[in-house]
Amino acid sequence: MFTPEIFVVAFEHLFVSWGIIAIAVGLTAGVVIGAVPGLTAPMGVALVLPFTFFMDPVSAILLLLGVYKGGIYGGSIPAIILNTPGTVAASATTLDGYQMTLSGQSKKALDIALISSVLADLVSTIMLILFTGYLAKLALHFGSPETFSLIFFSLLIVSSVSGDEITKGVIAALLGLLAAMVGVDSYYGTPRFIFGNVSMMNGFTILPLLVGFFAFSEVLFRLLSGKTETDLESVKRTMGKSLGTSDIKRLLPTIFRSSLFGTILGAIPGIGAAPAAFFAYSEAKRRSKSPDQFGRGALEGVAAPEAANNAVCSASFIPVLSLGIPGGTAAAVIMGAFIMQGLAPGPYLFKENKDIILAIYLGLLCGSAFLFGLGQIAIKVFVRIRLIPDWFIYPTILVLCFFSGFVVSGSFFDLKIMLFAGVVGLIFRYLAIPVAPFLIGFILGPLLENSFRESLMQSDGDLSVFFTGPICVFFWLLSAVSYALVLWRIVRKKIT
Amino acid sequence: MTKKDGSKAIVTGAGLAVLGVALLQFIIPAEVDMSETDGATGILIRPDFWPKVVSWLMIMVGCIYSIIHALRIWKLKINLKVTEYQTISGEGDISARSKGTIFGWGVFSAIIIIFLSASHETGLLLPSIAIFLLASFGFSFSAGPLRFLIALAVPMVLAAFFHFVANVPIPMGLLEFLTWS
Repeated sequence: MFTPEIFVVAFEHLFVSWGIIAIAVGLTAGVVIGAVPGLTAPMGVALVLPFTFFMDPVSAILLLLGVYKGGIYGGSIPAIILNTPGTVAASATTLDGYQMTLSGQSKKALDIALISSVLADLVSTIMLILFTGYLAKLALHFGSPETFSLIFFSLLIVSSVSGDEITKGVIAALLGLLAAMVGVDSYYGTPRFIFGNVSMMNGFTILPLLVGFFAFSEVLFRLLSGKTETDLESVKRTMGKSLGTSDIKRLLPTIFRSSLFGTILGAIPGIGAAPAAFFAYSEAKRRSKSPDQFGRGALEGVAAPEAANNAVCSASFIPVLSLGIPGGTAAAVIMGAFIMQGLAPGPYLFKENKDIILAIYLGLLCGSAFLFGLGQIAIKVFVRIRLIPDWFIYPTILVLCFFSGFVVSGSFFDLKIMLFAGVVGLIFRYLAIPVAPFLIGFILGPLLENSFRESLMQSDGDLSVFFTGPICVFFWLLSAVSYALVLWRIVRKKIT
Repeated sequence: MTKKDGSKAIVTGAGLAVLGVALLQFIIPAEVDMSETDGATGILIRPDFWPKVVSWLMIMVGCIYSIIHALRIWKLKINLKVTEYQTISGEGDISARSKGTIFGWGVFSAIIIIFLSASHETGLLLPSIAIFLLASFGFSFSAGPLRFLIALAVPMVLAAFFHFVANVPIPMGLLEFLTWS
């Protein structure tokens, strides 16, 4: 497919032009943007877009891809250290990452996040290069009924994500589903649960909700519980411990499996990095020999979501390149950059601009190596945050929450959402209700409802549409088996 | 499980079930606009279908959760002597609550009030300086004078970051004269 001449031109794009520098700059900017709660990876891509007007196509695309990848990785840093997901995609990482930080293993958690992110990035880029056509075809088989069965399966697995009590997990998931219904109905355009407030027409904005649930509630909880002084000496003693070779070996299957999930789910337009991360998290827990450790600082609990959300980055590019369909918000912005550069994403791109495609592929591979180096530096800087005294770090987080709540859409209403979510998060903590199922319900709720409706619209109300395709049947069977296993574990525990 | 945990769980379950009933009886009829759905193809596609499903599930799960915990408390009562039961019930927690925690509640209330009062008029910078100061005292009383300086600096640095890097100006309100440009 790629002749030696094309390789020469692609290398020129990368090394004679600014391609390689563009991806390095993009990754650096992305990590910084992702590490600031309130600035999301797609927002970072949009912010950098104007700078690409005067660049050559390869440099422009690689700069934007770098920001996206760096942003998704960067989001894990505050998620692990401050319990504040820098991006929505990192929300699943907070569940075990922050617990590891609390137990003095922040360096280890950051190492896992970096290694998982880099390996997943590499896996999904290789799959992008080798299987773009096949993955696009597989993604096209994912119609509404298949999406519904997949989301239903993920929600069912929620029960097993919720630690000790399944019922508590279900309660949290139901509340998440309810919160997701606020706003304008996507089909009829009519309002639901807005209580006469026009600001609620768009529903609850996800980022203020996340910041409130994790960061704001954490600071409030510390204030109210009197846990106001961290033992800095103990943190100092343990934070430097890195990830061991045996840990990496143990985590490799989880990382590769989650990378695969992330790649497949990322190739499906509209799913996104956050649902993929939660799906990988629940799968890792389901397969784990010690599922009770999840939510308490399990290494796999950091590796799985980080691998999945980073794998989505390259994978969301698959439908853009092969079909000209963006897989998510950032991919849509990057597709806009293609068009601005006079390139038409889709099958013709492979015919007309092979050199550009190859240069992008090679740039992405180099980007994985850059990300590893950049991540090492970032870890050295950010791990020291835990040494800052509580009286400085927690008020700073509060101010950051305050600003993050506002900057997402420049609205005071979002600030109030953040406040409300913080108080609800606090109540969840006091009642020991897990936060993860709430977020899974909130993020997957609209997908569940929309895919259900779309399926019924396509089949004229015939419910058998959910049980016809092989993918649907596979997920229904998997749901049944998984739930039976969960129930069996409970019964066995009671008996013994 | 202690009596306190059990009671919490019963209240949580009952609260969920009550919310479910309220949704079905009052909130969904009033807050889900069905005006566009006349002649809709089916009940399953209507805007109130999923809210109703979730409400019914909330009622069911809430009741199950409450009943399970009520039964557990009942079993606990049978198994334990009254004195042992009271020892593990944690009812002495309130008297043991530290002064620091009570101060924490004061700081918490003040922070919530400051958050709620944030508007275009007050801006975000001034409340964030107040929040920083209050919260830092909630965590520790050491490094007093330095703290005032930091409470001024941190919000301003963060506001400048959002202004210049993210291109999202933080409303300055009463401190409008400090405009970056």
